[in-house]
Amino acid sequence: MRSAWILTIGLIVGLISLPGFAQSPDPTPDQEPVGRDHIVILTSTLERAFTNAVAERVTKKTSIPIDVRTVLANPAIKDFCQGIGLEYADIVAVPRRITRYELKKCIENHVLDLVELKVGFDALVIATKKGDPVFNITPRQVYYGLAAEIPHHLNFVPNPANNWKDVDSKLPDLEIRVIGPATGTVILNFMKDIFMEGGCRGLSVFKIYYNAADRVRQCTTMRADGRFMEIKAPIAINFLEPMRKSPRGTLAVIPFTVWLKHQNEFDVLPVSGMLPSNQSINDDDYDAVYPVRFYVKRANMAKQLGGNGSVPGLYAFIQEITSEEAMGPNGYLEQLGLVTADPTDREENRKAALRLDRFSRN
Amino acid sequence: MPSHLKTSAAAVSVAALLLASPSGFAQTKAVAGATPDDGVAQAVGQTVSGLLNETASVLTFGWWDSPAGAPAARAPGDVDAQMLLPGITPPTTDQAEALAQLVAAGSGPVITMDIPNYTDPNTAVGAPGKPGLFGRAVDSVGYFFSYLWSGITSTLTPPSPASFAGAFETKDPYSFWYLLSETGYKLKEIESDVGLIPDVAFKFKYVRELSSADIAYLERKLERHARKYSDMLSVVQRSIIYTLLEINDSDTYFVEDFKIKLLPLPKAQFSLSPWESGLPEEFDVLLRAIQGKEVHYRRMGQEDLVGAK
Repeated sequence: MRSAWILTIGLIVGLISLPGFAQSPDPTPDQEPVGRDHIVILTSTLERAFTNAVAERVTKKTSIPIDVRTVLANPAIKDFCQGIGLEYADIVAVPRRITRYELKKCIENHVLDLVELKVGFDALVIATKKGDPVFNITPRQVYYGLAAEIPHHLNFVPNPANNWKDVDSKLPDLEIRVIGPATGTVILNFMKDIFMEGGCRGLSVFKIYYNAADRVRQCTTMRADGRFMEIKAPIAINFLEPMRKSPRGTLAVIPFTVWLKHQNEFDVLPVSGMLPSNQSINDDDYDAVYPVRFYVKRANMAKQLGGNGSVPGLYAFIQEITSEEAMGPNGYLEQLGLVTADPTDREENRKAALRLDRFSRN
Repeated sequence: MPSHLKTSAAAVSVAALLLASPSGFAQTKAVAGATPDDGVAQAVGQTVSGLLNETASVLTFGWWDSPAGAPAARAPGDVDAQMLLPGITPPTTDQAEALAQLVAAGSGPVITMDIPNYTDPNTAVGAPGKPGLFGRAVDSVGYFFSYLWSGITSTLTPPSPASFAGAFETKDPYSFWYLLSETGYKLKEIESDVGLIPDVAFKFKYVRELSSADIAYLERKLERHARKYSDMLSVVQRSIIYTLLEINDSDTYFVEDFKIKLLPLPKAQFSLSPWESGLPEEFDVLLRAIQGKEVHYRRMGQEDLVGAK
C-alpha cells in the first residue's frame, strides 16, 4: 500500500516536472552544455528584418551567437524539415503557415515537435505617389491589367489593355504602369497568389482546367510589354527611385512595412474596398495579408525542455520574440512594420509558445 | 356504428391505403392539385407538410361545412369530400347532435386538440361562420389524423432533391456548398431513396486540382468561417473540408469523389484514388477524340497541299 502511494506521488511529481505540463518551463535549462554553440535560423526575405532584430537582442542577453541565413520560404521549410540535430536549422521564419504536407515530411524525418510562434502580420499594398489618383482596385482588375493573356470567349488572347479604363470603365483614365517585386522573391510569389490567382479564381474559363499547374501558369504569367516592371531585390530600397521618376498614375506593389516608412511620399489604394491598416490587417479584412510565423524545433532544445540538448538559447529566443517589447504595440518589431495581433491573441500565442505546445494542422 | 365514426374510419383506411400503395401518392397529388385556389386548403397547406395533409384538409373542409349545411357558400375551387372519396358521406345535422352529446358526455373516442388559427372562420374563404361543437370535434379528429400522417410521411419521404438545387447555386462565400466548390468538388449526382429508411445523398466529384495559393486562400477562409460560425454543424462542415484538403495534400492518394448522406443519419463517405492512376475514362475518350481529329485535319491539310500542287 505504502509503495503504491510512493509510486503515485512519484508519477505526479514526474508529470508536473514535464515541460508543457507546468505554466511555463524554467527558462534557464537551455543554457546547459551543448553540441552546437550557436543557433541557426533560416529566414525568408520578408521576415529577415524581424529575425535580425530578435536575434540581436537574444545574442546581447545570452551571449549565444545566432547565424541568420536568408533563404526563399519554400526551400527554407524543406531544409528545416530535413531532420533534427546539429547539421539542421533550429528555427525557420516564413510568411505563411507550414502546410500539412510539409508537416508530414517533417514528421517523416523525425522532426516531431514544432513550436509555432505567431508573431503578427504583414501585408502587400498597392501604392501610388501622393497627388496621383487613389482608386479602389480588386484582384480581378489587377489580373486583367497585368496578365500576359486574358480570357476572351473561352480562349486566351494577348492582353490588349493599355489603360486601367480598358480593364474596367469604373477605373480612372490612367496608363497601366506597375512596379513590383522581382522574379524568384517571396513577395512576387505572394503578389501572384493574391492578385493574379485570386483575380482569375472563379472565372468560368478556368473552371474547365483540371490541372492546377496549367491554371497557375495561365493566371500568373505577367505581361512582358513593359507595363509591369520588376524591381531588383531588395524592393524596400530599390523601388524608390523608379517610383519617384515614374509618370503619373504608376503603381507599386510593396510590403506594408515598406510603405509605412515612406507614407509621406506615397498613398495606398484600397483593395476590394479595404484600406490596409493595422486594424484591417489584424482583423483579416484586408485581402493581401500574410502571417509572420516562426517555427522552432523542440528536438534541438535542452533535455529538460523535451529536446536532445544540442543547441542552447532556443527557449530564450521564444521568450524574447513573444515578449511585449518585441511583438506588442510600440514594440521594436512594430517599428519595423509588423502588424501586431490583438491583445487576446497575443496573450494566447505567447502562452502557447512558452508552454512549447506542439504545432499541428488539425 | 354511427356514421361520423364511419367517416373517421374511412379516413384512416384511406390513410392506410395510401401508406400501403405508392400509387396512392399520385392519387393524392392529383387531389391536392385540384384545389389550388381554396383559401382554407392553402392555409392548411402552409402549416402541414405531406400530400395527404392536403387531402385531409379537403376532408376537414367538407366536415366543417356539413353541420352548417352550407356547401353553396364555398368558393368555386372547392372540392367536396364526397366527390373526392366516394362512399364518404358528410355527417348530417342529426349525427352532429349525436356527436355533440357524445362529447358532452365525455364518453366518445374524440381526441381534442387546439384548432390552429388558420381555421378562423373569418379568414376562411366561404366559411359559414363560427363552427359549432360538432365542427370542432370532427375537425379535431381530422387534424389528429392529418398530423399523424404528416409524421409518418415526413419520416418515410426524404426531402425532394430538387429542393436542394438552389443551395448549390449559392453565392454565399461561407456556405458549405460554396466552400466545397472552392475545394475543387462539383456536385455530380443526387440520390434519393424512398422507403422505410429513406435516404438522400449528394455525390461530389473532384474536378479541379488546387494550387498552393488555392489551399492558402481556402484555409484562410475556413479560419474566418470558424470565427463567424461556431455551431456544431459548422464544425462538422469544416472538418469535412479539412479532411478533403488533408488527403488531397498527400502525394499518394486523393479523394476522387465523396458522398454526403443526410438520412437516416448524416455522414460523409470518401473514395480515395491514387494520384498516379491513368486518365479517367471520359478524359481518355476525349483525348483520343482530339487526337483522332488532329490526324484527320493533318490529312486534310496534306490533301489540300497535294491538290494545290
